[in-house]
Amino acid sequence: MQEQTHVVANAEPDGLESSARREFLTGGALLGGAWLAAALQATERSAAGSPVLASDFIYTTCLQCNTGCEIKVRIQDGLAVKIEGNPYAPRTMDPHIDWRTPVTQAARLAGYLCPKGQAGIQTAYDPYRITRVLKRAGKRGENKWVTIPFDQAITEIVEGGVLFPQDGGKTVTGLRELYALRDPGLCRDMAADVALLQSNKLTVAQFKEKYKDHLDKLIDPEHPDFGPKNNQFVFLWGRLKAGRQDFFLRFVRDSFGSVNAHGHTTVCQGSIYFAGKSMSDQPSGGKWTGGAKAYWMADTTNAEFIIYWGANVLDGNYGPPLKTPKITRGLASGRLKIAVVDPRHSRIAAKAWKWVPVKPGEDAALAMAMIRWIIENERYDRRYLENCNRAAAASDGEPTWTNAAWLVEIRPDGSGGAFLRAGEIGLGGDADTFVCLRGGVPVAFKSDDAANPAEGDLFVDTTINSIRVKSAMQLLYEEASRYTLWEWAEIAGVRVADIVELAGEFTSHGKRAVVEIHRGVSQHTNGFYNVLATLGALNLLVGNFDWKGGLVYGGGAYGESGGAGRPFQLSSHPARLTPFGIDIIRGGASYEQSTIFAGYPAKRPWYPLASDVYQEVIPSAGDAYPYPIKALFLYMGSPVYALPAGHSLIPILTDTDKIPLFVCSDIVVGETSRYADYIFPDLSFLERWEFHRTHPSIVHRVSPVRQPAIASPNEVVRVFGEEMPISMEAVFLAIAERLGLPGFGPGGFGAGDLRRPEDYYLRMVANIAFGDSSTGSDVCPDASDEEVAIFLEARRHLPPSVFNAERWAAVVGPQWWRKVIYVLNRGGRWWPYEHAWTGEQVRAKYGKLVNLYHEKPATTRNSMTGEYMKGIATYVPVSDALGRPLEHKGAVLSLITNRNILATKSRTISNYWLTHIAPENVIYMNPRDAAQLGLRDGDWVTVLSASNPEGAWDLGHGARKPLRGRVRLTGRIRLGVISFDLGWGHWSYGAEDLVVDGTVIPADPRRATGIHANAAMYVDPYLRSPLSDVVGGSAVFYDSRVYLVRG
Amino acid sequence: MQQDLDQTLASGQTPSWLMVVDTRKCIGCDACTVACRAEIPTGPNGSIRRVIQKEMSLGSRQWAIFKPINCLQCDDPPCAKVVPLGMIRKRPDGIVEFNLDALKGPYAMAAAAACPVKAIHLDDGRTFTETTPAQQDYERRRFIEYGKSYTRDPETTTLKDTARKCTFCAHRLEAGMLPACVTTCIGGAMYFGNANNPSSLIHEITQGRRIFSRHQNLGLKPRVIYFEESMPEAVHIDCVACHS
Repeated sequence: MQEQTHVVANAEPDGLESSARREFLTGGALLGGAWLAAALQATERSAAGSPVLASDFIYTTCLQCNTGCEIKVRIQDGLAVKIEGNPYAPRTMDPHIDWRTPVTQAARLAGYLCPKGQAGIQTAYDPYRITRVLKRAGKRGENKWVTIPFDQAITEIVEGGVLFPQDGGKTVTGLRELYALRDPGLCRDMAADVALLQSNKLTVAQFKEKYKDHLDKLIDPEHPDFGPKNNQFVFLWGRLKAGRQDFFLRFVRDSFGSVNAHGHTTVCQGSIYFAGKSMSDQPSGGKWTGGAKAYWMADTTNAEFIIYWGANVLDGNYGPPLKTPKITRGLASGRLKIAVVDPRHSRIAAKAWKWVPVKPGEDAALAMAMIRWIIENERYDRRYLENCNRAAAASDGEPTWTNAAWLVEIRPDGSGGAFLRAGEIGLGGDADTFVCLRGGVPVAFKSDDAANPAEGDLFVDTTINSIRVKSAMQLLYEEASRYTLWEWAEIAGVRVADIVELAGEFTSHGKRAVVEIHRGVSQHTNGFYNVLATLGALNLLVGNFDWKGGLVYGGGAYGESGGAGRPFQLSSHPARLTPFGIDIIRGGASYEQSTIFAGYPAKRPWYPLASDVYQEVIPSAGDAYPYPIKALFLYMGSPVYALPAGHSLIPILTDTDKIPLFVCSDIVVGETSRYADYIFPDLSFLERWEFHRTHPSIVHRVSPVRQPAIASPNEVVRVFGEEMPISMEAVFLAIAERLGLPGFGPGGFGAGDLRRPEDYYLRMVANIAFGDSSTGSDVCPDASDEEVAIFLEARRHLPPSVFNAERWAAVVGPQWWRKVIYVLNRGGRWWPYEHAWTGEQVRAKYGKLVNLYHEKPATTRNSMTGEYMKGIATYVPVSDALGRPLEHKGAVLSLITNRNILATKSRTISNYWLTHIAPENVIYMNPRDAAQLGLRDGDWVTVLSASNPEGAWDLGHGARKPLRGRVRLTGRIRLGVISFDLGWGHWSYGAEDLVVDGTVIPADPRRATGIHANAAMYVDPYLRSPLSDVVGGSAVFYDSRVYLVRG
Repeated sequence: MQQDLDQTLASGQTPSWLMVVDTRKCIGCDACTVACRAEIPTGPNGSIRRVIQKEMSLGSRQWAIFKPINCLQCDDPPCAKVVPLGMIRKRPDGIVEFNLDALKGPYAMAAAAACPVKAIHLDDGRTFTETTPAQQDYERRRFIEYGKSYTRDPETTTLKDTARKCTFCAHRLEAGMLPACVTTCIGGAMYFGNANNPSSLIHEITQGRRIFSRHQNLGLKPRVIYFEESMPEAVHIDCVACHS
């Protein structure tokens, strides 16, 4: 680390403001006399509750929100008593200490951590934790339970039968019957033939004839594209990260053979991810593929101007601990200037130069206006935008390039279609050879060509060989000039001066200006195009990708699951199935190519550009579209609570015909697990493994490890001869053992066993220890004898069912064991601080084409309207699934939500240290709106809407929770908009009485306070499920309007 | 700051502890409030650290400012004047030390009432989980306050009716660690150190700054002082807007 300076608040060119250096301590500083003296007294102090010993801590990873901060957990008398930030990690110390600093020196150091992270102890030590398997005793959702032995639950789920006599003697199909297709070879053949079927190279009749002996394995032989019965087993998850995800998908996909493993992406920011996927797709064989769920963010450490657009970075958005110090230091030094676009004056707005309270859902109008101003005033980075391929970009020192100058074919109706291919105008090449115009002359090029630079004119509108073409930039400008600035300002509800000031400032900092977005942009029915206009077009206009202080893709994580040179290949599987068929949400699937195409609109939307459409899983099961499901497993998710209009799921969840078997993994009886048939207790985040990896705004490569820090309260069970507390892993292992699924148990890896969670996760830790060099040149050091002793001593409180040093060592072998300890003693592995940047750019570059124009949507039909989607950033008004304006029925107040740093959606109401600070949430309201309604600060109101005129959650069986809360009047919200903090208003999770084995477990009234107004959000009139962005997949939180009724 | 602390402890000389809060870097997240409670267990009827938020509107302009509050460790503490001698002691390092075994009941109430910033509360000895189906063990943990060991175990606690307040994390300072609120501050708003050390950061940042302390003016000589770092590119409002 660098020499300390004595200057306090001057900005330094590298962005590491000097005051940060002063606050930061070097490893060497800890070798002073005071440290030695303190160490000598350490044992005595530790016994009395003051920690200074390295063995008083276990370093793991927070999961109080999805930031996944690295933490150190202080253990006293076997209990977690305090959680602090991990000083080794860039999320929680800025700058962080070198990874090789001895743990004895790091013991006294605490990184910073947000209040939720510190309250995580109370998520683990929750009096309402369940510790044994619960089976429902009454009807679904009656909230009456009996505890049953783990083995009995596994038997019932696997074998099925009349499991719930109270349901009128219905027989439940067990997993054994759903595990219909078991032969990997047959599965592979059928998958290949279904692909042929979808491309019209095979008929259904031919398929049936070919597989006439196996038709019983299909959901419906008339529709082979539904796939095998295995697909009727659906696994749905809320929060799941690498490691655990790999383990679970190994079960669901590789071993059980179901395509139906779905995440929750769209409840968070799906349309960002799927717009990002489209932005990152690359041309290959005439198609656009390979895109990642990309979400670029600012290099906050070095940016000079950031527009936080619908991004409440000081409360959520991937990391108050990560981003805040970079922001506050940047503001204090004068390096950074911030603008906030948000209907609500959020916490970050309190630190901003400018707050622009845009109308909810009209974000693209503001963005298109800025685009128009930037283009007409020629404030864009022409040099960057003209580069059409890798070679041209490289000659300008640009890591990325875009397709602004590429030529797009124009359809007769004027809309953009596919890119012009060189072959179409006689310039040769293949399906990936595109065309730009330079000085009026067409130039053929390939995107990834590193040898032959192609630069094109930005504004082209011409005809070549009778083909009408325009450049992508021209199409963008035409979209932006649909309205004047004054008209755009009217639509967006902002002032023209705001547009000009924002656009002017944004284009005054070179590549150190960024538009950073989050849910406020994406969770609208027009979310996909809002993202293309903000994150996409605006950032591309200044060409800030991969630049220091610009837009970054993130440093990534060390590859934990295997790869070249790494000691363990976690994907090894002795008999992997190839899951096939349309999935239950029709993700990535083509409606027109399916065997159930029946014109427009489709019965439910198809999502050719998206996956993990959380709000679509349960309603699709409800409509049995495209097919009925038999079993739903839900892991660490609460869609009823978390989704907008989540109440619309309840009638489906309570219907045992639509979802015949519903199994949840949860740590409590929550708002959704209360509808389960069986609840398996899971481990809290402090008791288990996971690999949280990284986020795009972390410019360093980071691999935090989540590992057991405390013992689990759960019942210990025996699976594959091994004792372990009940967990989701234990459930999958037990089902695999019962069904004889390949890929688990003895020989699960082929050469190695997979009998218990550590068999999987310790191998991943070894891969992290190996590093990223396939030659092994950055393999981590061995832990010293002292570090080994610290490792063992720190785990003295863990029972053998969780920690067994000899067994752990045997999993990875003597060559890796001490390296694994080295990683676990620090809770992960990270790049050194300075390593993140090189010259004027970040080291971890995206380094590829970033699409301004999107051929795939432009040539794909919307399954609801039958029209082609737009291929460029554009303004689309808010609408229902069919593209019709929403029916507000006279309601005028827009309902939005906001994060509060003191809560994470469904899962922190148990944290009394947080609810002590904020015992309830409120409805934020502008005083002028309140005056119209005659409301005063603190008044109680009920929230009603066109799709919830009752103003209540209907929980089934006569139970209701009114949408009732208190208003707080504040000028910090746009006129005509109300908002509430997500996280309160619970009716389960300890907020209601439970009956277990005939005994009432009384509720805690502190958990039922406040309001959760999601049930006032619109149910789509056509879909009868939550309003959605049918292009990008987002669940829609911010486009509903409500009435408030006093009382 | 950690280096400053190490130097001070190594020197063997009596420090003069000082806490400085840069209110403009504070984002009002309450990380410090929770860190404080985890470090020095308190119950549901009080907190020894809190963060207040003030909002202002002027036409379309909006402001919000945040200010953390804890015991000011006054050099002339009003709380000490209302209780018998010896119950509240001003230590040479500046920390105002309570005798928790004596400062109880009416004395505790008197001390709390005398505090101009309401930084003292009367501990009722309760825990957060005692009214739930299961009292949790972590709330029973032993901890050190002013050199003595305590617990909040409902069965055995001696903290009922005792006055509680910030200790500057004296137990951590002795072990070479900065106060919990300082290390956990995600905005970097907290500074702490030995004001006697002219080369310390805390000394440096208080030189030539506009220090704001209403309590300084009241003659309390507080050891917690506030200043506003200039944020040239942010819209902000001065402390004097409230404390004119």
